[in-house]
Amino acid sequence: MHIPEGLIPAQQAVAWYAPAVGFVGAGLVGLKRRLAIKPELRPLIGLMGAFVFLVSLIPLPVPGLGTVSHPCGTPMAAILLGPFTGTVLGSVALFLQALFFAHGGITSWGANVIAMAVGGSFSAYGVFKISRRAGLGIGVAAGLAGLIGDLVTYGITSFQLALALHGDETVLAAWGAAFASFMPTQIPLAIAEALFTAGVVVFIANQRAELLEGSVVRP
Amino acid sequence: MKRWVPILLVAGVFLAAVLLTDSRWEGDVTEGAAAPMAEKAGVEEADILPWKVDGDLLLFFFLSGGAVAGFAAGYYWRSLFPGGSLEKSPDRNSDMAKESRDVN
Repeated sequence: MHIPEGLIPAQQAVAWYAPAVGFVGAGLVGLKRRLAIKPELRPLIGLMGAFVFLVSLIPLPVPGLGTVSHPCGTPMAAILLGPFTGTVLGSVALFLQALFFAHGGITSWGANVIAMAVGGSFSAYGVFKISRRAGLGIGVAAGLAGLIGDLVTYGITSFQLALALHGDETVLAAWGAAFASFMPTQIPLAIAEALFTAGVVVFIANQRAELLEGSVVRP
Repeated sequence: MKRWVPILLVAGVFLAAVLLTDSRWEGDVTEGAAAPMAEKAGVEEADILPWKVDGDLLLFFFLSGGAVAGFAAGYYWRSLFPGGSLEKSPDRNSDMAKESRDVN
């Protein structure tokens, strides 16, 4: 979902930057406050930061299709640490990837933050919360959140590409076409992200339940 | 030994599927989706950074970045779960002891 440099017009790039900076700023303030109250969260934040950076960089091949893509990691971070912290971790990963890994871009950073960091985090957090309220177990709720968070990220990226590059087509038609072209590759990866998210969230909830007290996992 | 079965199974299925795919694995799915749209709209990718990371330098950065992130993840994992699986799993210890006896 890393939109490369130069594909988004300047006005749209600025328009994506504005909310992205707002979310990241709010996330940083919240993170600083949380760490002051609960410093024992530091290793979990470090682990999630490394994880988001790694999985959103790794090109995973999809057997049979000959294409590669990557999971997002932000759904898991958002479930364990909250959507604003997930946004911060995702935005840092995207910045480093744009600078040194030819993955994404500086002008498209705002758009990419909105898709992967904000979209992936908030949608997964919402799905997890609703699923838990509906009586689903932690594993199933986390799996669903991972799946939806991944697909929402690619849905937003498709919209951003459609808005920037629709040409003579309507934005809606271009959005549908872009989203459809992502799906064959992304559905298997979204399923993998769902399974992995479920496994790790259940493991951490069982092994270090005290860390997650007050979070959406253990309210 | 049991813990290797699912890993080998997944690796085998994955490898077989990859080998059966007739593709050069060029670019990721976003580039694949964006390239025709950009071409149609007459827009091209641009470079705004004063440096260009490609070829073997990009490979070096990917490997280094992966290694650093992997070490960081391992470090924080050990902070979160001190003790590790060796001390917690008597099965694995006995497997390793048995393998060691067999070798000797």
